[in-house]
Amino acid sequence: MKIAEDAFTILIVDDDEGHIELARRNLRRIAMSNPIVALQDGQRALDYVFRRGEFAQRENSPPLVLLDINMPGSINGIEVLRQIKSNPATRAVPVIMLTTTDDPREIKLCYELGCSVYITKPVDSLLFIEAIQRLGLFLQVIRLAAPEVFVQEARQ
Amino acid sequence: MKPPNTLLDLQFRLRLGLLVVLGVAGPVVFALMAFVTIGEVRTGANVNKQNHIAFNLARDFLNPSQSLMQTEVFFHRIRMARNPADIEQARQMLLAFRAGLETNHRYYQQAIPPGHLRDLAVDEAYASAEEWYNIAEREYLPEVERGGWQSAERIRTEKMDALVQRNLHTCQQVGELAEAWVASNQQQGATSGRSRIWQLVGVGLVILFFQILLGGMINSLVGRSTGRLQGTLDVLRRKNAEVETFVYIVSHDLRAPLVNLQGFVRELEESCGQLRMLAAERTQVLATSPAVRCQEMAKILDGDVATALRFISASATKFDRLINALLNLSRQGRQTYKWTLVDVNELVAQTIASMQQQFTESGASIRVDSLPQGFMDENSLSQVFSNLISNAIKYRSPDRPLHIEIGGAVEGESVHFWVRDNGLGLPESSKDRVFHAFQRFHPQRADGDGMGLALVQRIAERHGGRVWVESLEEIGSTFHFSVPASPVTTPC
Repeated sequence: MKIAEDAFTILIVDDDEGHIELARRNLRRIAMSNPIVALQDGQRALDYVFRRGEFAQRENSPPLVLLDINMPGSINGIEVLRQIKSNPATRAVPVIMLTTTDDPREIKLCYELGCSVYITKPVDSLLFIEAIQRLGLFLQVIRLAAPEVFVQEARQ
Repeated sequence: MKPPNTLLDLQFRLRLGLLVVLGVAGPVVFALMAFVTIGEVRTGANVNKQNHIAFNLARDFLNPSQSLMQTEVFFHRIRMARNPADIEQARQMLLAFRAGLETNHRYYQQAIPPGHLRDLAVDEAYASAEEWYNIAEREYLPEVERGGWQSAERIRTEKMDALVQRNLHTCQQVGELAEAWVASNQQQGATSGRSRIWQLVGVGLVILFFQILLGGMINSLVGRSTGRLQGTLDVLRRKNAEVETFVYIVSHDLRAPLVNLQGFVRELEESCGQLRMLAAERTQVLATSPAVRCQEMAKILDGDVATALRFISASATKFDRLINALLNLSRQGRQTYKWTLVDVNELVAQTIASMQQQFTESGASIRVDSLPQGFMDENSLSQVFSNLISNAIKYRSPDRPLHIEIGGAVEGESVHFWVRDNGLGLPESSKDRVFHAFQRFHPQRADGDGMGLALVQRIAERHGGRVWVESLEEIGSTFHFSVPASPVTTPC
């Protein structure tokens, strides 16, 4: 289901290869053939979203982020979410929390920080599909509305 | 480890009981004394009153000259009388004397308690006096008024004088008895009354002082044991929180491989479905040749199925490792420690020798300072150093050769060891999490189950000590391990 010509990239951030593979297969199953980028730590994920470091030259379009919380290193999923949502240039990027933790406090915190939806693993396929589709549409809409603004802000 | 059962301690109960008994005894004694004193004060007042009566008695009765004088004055007046007016004056005087007598009589009638003294003073003495006055009024005076001087004189000598004598005699007796009474009262009332009250106040203050002292002792005794209980409660609360955190961490670390297991089993089912369709002889959808179908099937088997199986197998292995690590950690908690005086220098040298291969491979250098001895469990201490050194080697920096320093010192009642390295270091935010189970910060650098430091912390706790880390990213870390020099009495 390619919604528009220049389809958005789906960024999967998870330290477990198996989980990444399962997410890929789920996306394939709902016929989403968008490009998928999988990263296994928070620092690289931020570099991707903010277009810096190794990803400074990537194509300038906001991704849809599937974010796990428990990752090794100093930057875990919550921190990634916080940084994305506190920066005006990237605040609009839709982030789906996809994680094993089901602690209500963590869920509340993520929603407060601005995640679009919080999904616990093992994944309920219907919820997953719905979330992707809805947010995918959302992404298309904001891009069509003000692409220039987004590009300029991201560069700051 | 059973927390010390302080409140039910026999010793504690005995001490507390003794203090309470003393504390109660004080006021009871004071109350009894007050009761007695009040009684005595009342007796004393009573005694004072009776003293007063006794004094009066002594005054009135031991002074015969006064009553004698009265009679003489009367007779003198009669003798000197020249006219009836003088006799009338004498009569009036007699009546006045009598009235005085009556007043006294009434006073002593109600003042003196019943007894011998009363009978004498009130009844007998007054009887004789009264009779004298009766005769004087009714017999003597009328005779005098009639002019019968001789018969009047006869009345006087025959009746009245005898009465006077009798009265004097009785008065003497009363006086003596009164004196004796006064004397005995004085003896009795020596310490009664006011001095008794001052005594009571003094004793009261002393008892009050002791009550305050006892109250303070009870307070501190209960306070100390409450303090110890509170301390035990705090330890238990902390441990409970730790267990809860541990269970939380573990359950989530176990969930990750489980997600893979479930997910890829479903993927396998999907793939099997596809294979089944391809294998079915009557297929309406795929109007393809068997050869093509076989190719498709091979693709699925080598692709999706192989991947799924790989992940399933890896997850099972991960499960196995995690459970082993947990068992190991739990085993640490249940092992019986053998407390001996450990030569730590020797122990560290042996540990390093057993890791010789890792040292050569990594090109690491190590320096060990002189280390203090301590009363510890040798096996677990060896594991502590082994884990810390192994971590230093695993998480060394690729930018510089690894150098490890091991040092130690005696600090008061503890022995303190540290392992310093110049490796990758830890981010500030992770320092408190680093000792939790399954925590790994640089998984890409080396293999590990994330339990090494959790084990070190457990060992430290069992010795009654603690661990902590100082670290700067890209500079290095120092892991500290401090335990009491001699084992605690209630190891946990």
